[in-house]
Amino acid sequence: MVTRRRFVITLGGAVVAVATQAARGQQGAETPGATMEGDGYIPVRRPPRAGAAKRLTPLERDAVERMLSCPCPCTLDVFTCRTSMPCGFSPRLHADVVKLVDGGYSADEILAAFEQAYGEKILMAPHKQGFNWVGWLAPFAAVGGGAFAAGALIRRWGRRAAERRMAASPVPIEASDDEMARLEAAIRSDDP
Amino acid sequence: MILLGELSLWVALLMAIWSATVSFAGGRMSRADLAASGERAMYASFAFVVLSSIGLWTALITSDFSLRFVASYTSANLPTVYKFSAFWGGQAGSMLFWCLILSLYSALTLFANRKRNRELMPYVTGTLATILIFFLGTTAFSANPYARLDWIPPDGTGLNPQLQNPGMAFHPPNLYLGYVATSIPFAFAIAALVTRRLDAEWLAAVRRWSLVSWLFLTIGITMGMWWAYVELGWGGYWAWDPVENASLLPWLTGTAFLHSIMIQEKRGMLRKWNVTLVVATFLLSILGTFITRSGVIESVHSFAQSPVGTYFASFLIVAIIVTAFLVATRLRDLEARAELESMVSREAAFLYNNVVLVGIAFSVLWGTLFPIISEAVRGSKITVGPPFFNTVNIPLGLLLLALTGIGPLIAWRRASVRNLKRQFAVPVAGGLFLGAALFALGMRDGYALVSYTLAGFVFTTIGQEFVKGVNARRRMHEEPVPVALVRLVARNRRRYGGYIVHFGVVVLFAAFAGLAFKKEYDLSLTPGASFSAVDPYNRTWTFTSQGVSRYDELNRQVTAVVLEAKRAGMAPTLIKSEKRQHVDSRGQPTFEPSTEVGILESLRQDVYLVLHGVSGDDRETAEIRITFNPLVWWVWYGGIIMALGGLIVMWPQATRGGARRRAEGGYVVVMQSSERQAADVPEPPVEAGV
Amino acid sequence: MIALVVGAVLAVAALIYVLLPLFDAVTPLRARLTGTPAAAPESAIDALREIEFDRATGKLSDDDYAALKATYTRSALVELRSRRGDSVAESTAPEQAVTPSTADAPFVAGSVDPAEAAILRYRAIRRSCDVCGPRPEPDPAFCSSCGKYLKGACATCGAVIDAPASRFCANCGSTLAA
Repeated sequence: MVTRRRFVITLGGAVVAVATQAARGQQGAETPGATMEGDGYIPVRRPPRAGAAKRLTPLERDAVERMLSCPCPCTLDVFTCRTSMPCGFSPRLHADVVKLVDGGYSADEILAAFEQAYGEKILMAPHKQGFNWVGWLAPFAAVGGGAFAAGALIRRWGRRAAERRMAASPVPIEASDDEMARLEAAIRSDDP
Repeated sequence: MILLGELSLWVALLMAIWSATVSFAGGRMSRADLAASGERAMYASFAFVVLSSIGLWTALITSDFSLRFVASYTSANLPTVYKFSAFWGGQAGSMLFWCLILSLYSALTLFANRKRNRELMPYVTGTLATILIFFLGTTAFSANPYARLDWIPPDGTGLNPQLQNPGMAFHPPNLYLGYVATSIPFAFAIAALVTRRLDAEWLAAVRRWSLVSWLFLTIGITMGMWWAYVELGWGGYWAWDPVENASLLPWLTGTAFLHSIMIQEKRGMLRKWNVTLVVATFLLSILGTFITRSGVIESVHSFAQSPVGTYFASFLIVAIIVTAFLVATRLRDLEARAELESMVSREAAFLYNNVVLVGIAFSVLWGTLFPIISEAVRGSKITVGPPFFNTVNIPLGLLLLALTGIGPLIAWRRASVRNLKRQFAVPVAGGLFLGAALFALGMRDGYALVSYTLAGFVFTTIGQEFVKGVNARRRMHEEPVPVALVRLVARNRRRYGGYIVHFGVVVLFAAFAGLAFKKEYDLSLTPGASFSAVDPYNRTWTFTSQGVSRYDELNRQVTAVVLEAKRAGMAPTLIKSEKRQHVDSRGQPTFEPSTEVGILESLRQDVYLVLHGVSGDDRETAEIRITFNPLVWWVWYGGIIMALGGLIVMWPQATRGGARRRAEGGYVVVMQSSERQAADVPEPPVEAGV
Repeated sequence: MIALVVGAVLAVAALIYVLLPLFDAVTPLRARLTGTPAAAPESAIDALREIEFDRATGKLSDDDYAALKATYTRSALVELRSRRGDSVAESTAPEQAVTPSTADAPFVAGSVDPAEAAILRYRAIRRSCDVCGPRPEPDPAFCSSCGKYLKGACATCGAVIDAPASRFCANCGSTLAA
């Protein structure tokens, strides 16, 4: 049982902790956000390979665009954005991708080039490495942990119920035939 | 009318403030007069919100461009239907729309409970009024649809062309109806927590409204998918974007609640968990509304940016603190009252179902929040998009599908392994048969094979449930098959309605898995040129361009391409895709050009035609994409089946006759004993007992 | 201008409507229970019906069925009898409600487990108000909601005690608990 006082104290502690964290975060957060100022479009150009031949079909090119996020606020990938609700960015990124494809670059190379220009943010999903594993695995960990907790809970309930059954002497109630007949009728009655 | 509407908004706000104050005071001081005044204020508030909404609709229909909202979201040449639906097309209007639904629901709840749950109602009224104050206040102070422009523009900006679609006229209202309906269970939960009356009495009202919310969310989400598919032109229906995720979250927790509430009703267990789910569903709806309504959101960062965001963030934090306080101080009242009889039982299966549903909700929320966490920890920005959500949620979704089939096969209360083998034999065989058959037919996609195997399993489970149920009824009541089937469902709507919902889920999963086999072709066709393509069923299609046409319509310039589609065994059919450039009433272009896709639909697959553009010197060469989308139509059918199942579950069951008949037999259901009144129950005929 | 007037009139009308209850006498909030109770926790009879059905559809093995049937039949019988226990306290015709069924099937405290006996004892002494329904307090003399005197029942013969502050049962003469 949590008393009112304990709740307030815990809450107060949490608020102080969050506030100090936020204050600390505020100081550092000023400088790196500058890249989003102005347009935010960064051209990704590479000289065409010698004897360049297209390595990607249009469909494979679209698959690459599906791995790139549009820098506009639409939260969609470049392909979906340019084919559904085109903004000022996705057509330009599409043009860059087309040039790279024409220049003979492979899908991985194109993605790497974009990541170099924009940072990891341009990829629709983070690399599976380092801290990102936390992101990839947390849902499974949560479901696994939840399933484990549910299992433990069920086992505890089952044990408690078994104990109770042992404790309560299972003396049957004597019931008259008439009582049983009426009980039976009530159970068989079709109307719920 | 517009001035009246604006005034009404403020009067409604004042009424809501009065209602909240007086209701809480009435509950606290246990004074019926205060509570009655609070309820009347709620009715009055509803009336004034209606008046205010009529005012805004009048302004929209009559194109009164002196209002910023009307000028921003409509234009003089917009079809009247879309002028009407522009109400929820922009932020300010949809906030008012939220208020309209909330006050309507509140009035309905108060009316339905005017003779019931009297101890709870003051707090229910107070909680609902508080939520209404928040929304009316935000509307009035920060997103006022009646805000005026300094000058009257000759024409408005117009509605985004992609919102000019019947799907968009109905999809948002359904979602809002669903979101807002979660407030009622939340209000009852708060009232039950405050009064410590945490027994079963509040659950009935809560269950009904949770179903309402679930139903509207299901319809709303399905319509949203349909809209994205037919209107957006990228060939899919779900992009895991934050707005879609936001609508999925309360649906997931609401579904979890509808399952776990059964355990509380039957066993008195999971009381804390159920309160938590009710609260979580409400908070997630608020979060969903916020994400949807903060306009085009970049990420959760926009919390701090728009003034509405600040309001919402504060409201969420206050709501979380208040409910956390109430739950924490009432843990003892929420202790379970009974115990499980067996570790193998449907109760246990439901617990796992809850884990998976909430797990999926968590993964969706986690994917949305992880960029912030990552930035805080590593300092570098990342994006979490469909690749993440698919990787994480496909396995979890399949797990859920499996549980959909497993749960119904286990009896409530207890089951034994030997008996379970008998129950599982046919469904497992059914699933494996389907999987093997598809493999033999050449299907090699791993996830799709698992999906169809599980779908076969669940489908057989449902079929077996119906067959065995009908047979049992025929034996027990000697009814012919049709009567037995109808009565089976009618007498136990919750169970068999639920199975119908499950069937809808199976159809949905089968349709989702079909996407693994879609085929796309990019091509340019000059008039008269043909192109042959093979569809996923290995049939050859021939598409012949009939040329590009250009013409003007009411508010747009249209460039259209028409293809003739031919396939052996099918009459030639025409498909048309358009590129639309919308114009305002003076012929000036507005918005980016949009695409109108052409769909040749059938049960097996859609032929999906998108005109990307025209090229060539004479602008007669059509740059198009043809996609074969297998089984897409089944997504909408699945949604419809789920909604129908939900309706069956919701349909009120006439219990009075049954209770009376039982009473005539000398037995009476013992209701929550403190709630039963002598007058209600016919006295058991005593002679019968002699 | 017209809008302002209409708005003002409507607002005043609403204000009157809202404030009117405050001019009523100050009444305590009480349970007006005229509708059906909102939700019943599952009755043992419903559980038994479901158990029968689950057995008929083959979901319950015979062993499980027997065990569940025994447990829930007991609960259902207890439910039935406690219902009668209630009716003793609530009935206006005491001579009818007395013991034929208990004479028939002796309902001796020793034959059930102590917890259930305690529940039954509690139900027997629980009072109910004619207007507001059963009271939650153990052994109240007056309704905690409307203040009405609560009729009681004699612990010995079950007759209704309807005179306030009775010390003896009018039917059998035995002494009543305070």
